[in-house]
Amino acid sequence: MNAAPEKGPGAGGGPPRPLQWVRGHWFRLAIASFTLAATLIEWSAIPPIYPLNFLFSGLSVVAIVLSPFIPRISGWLIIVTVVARLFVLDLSGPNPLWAAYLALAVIGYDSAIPAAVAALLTVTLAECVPVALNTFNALSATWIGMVNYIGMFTLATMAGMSFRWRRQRDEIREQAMILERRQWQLDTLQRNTRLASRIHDSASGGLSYIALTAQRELRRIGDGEARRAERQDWRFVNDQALSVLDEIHHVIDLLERPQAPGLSRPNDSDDPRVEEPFANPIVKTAASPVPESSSSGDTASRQWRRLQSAMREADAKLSHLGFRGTIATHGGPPDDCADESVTEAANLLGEIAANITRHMSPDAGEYHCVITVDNDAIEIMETNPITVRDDAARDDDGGAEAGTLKPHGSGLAMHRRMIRDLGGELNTTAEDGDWILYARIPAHTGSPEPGRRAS
Amino acid sequence: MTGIRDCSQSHGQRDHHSWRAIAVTLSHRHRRNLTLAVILAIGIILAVLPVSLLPQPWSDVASNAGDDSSRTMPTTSEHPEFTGPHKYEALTAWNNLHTGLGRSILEDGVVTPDELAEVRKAYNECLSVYGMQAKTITDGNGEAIGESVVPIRGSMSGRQQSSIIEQCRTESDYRWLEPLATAQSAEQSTKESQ
Repeated sequence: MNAAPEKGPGAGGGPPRPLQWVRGHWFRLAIASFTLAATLIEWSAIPPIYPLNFLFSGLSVVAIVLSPFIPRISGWLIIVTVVARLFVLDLSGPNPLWAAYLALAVIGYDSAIPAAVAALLTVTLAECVPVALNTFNALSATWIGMVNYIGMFTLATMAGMSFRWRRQRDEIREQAMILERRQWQLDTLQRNTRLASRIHDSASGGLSYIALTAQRELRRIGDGEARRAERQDWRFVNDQALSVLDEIHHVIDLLERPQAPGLSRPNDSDDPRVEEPFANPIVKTAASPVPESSSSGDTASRQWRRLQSAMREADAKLSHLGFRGTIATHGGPPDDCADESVTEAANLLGEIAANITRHMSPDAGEYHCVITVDNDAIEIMETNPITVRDDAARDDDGGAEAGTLKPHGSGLAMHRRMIRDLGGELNTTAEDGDWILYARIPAHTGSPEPGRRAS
Repeated sequence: MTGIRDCSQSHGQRDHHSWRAIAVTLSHRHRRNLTLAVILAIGIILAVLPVSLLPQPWSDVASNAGDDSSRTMPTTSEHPEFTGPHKYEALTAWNNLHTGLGRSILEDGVVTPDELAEVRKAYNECLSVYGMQAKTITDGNGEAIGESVVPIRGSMSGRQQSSIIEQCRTESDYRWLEPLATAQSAEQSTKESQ
């Protein structure tokens, strides 16, 4: 019955509250005004004669006036007066049919279908009583004539119900559109996260190694005048790598930013203090955009090779940069292990290796990484000593003019989100001067364990 | 595991609380509406009881028309001294009047157009109780040339309508006062023309 859905008052800048209410209920007001005008005109032409008729007609007018504000109670009050007037043998006063049509329409709109049908039956049966008793105040002298009136009562009720269904349809459509828009935003965000992760894992990792290698060469060459030209070349390489790395980090930040202001980022409860020591990824393995499950032995061996390859790559890079430690594996992937889980495990190994090179000194000690693969999950446990580097020492090592790698702070957070999406978990702690990283990636992404996820 | 159990419990409790909140809200709303409806019903009943004891004018018209009975005002030897060419018609009307209004109008022996309009209003009130209204028929110049009664509501048969119309004419004194007023008006206009 209302053209516009009923809404609350706007937060500042909108029309005043009464005006907004009138705009939201204009149709109710219009039909109530029409009914009231018709009733009052008839009242003035033929006023009620019997006192009881006067009382019921007055109640009916009051109910018509109140119908936009308390529709259901007013509707039933009108029906009571209409039925009561049938038992007062006085045909003077306003015609009760106007109010009856209004009441049936209002109840049809505001009440459930059984209540609307009950109201319709009440009015219809009550109007049939004088016809059955053959009293002079019947709407029609014959039953055939009553069909017209019953049809009008039914039409009034159906009009109210159809307006109600139209409003419900509009609301459902609006909700569906909102849901679709949110789903689209979520899909876009997930796609951007994948893109950011892939850029982070490939280009950013490679540039980090280029910069670290250049810095290592600068330290090795020293400050001798004889190798000035070579030092300038390595410094140029280092500066270029760092500059491009900054740009890539900027792109990653843009990709990870939510597009809609009202959309909350999933899994954004990571503690930035924990993320701070971890920065640059290494592994060049690309993430598969579509998760797929494998069941054959070939698939299992391929996945195992991918994991082994990532381990060897991380070990080689760490060794090349002078880090000492071990990367060990236990078990093997199940036949139906999801490719996405193995890919994420391989990517996480690259991220762990990058963090070791970034935040641990080769002289500080050894790192230890253990990968346990069973039928349910891939578990990765890594520890390494925490090295506190001050900027002055870093400048001394790399030369005062040489740039250094800046932590971006999103690498491990991205992996944490992706692992959570897969149904696993990633935790980091610092205990007794050691960083401890624990990750559990479920082998089957289709059946995440809610209990584990909740931790 | 403790954390997991706590989380699931809080989730369940949250659901439970939200359902309880909805139920309480519905219950409050339902109770409020029920209270309002009960108050309204009691108010209507309390209003109907005394109002139903008030007199209902013209309620006997149908039964009187059915048994062809009507009760005139008590007639005595005391009556106004009617004069003029219509004194006998006035005396007949006086002896057949039903209402105090009619007697007060005829007391001076003259029925003016305004007094006739009052009687006509009472006549129409009587008709409206039975779903009819008297309508004046006019000619092209707007002069009244007759009167008809039209049904507007109800399901009365033609015969019933005729008897009700006659009874209303009688009980509202329109039957006696309307011809008298017409005759007096005609006489007045004749005098004026002479």
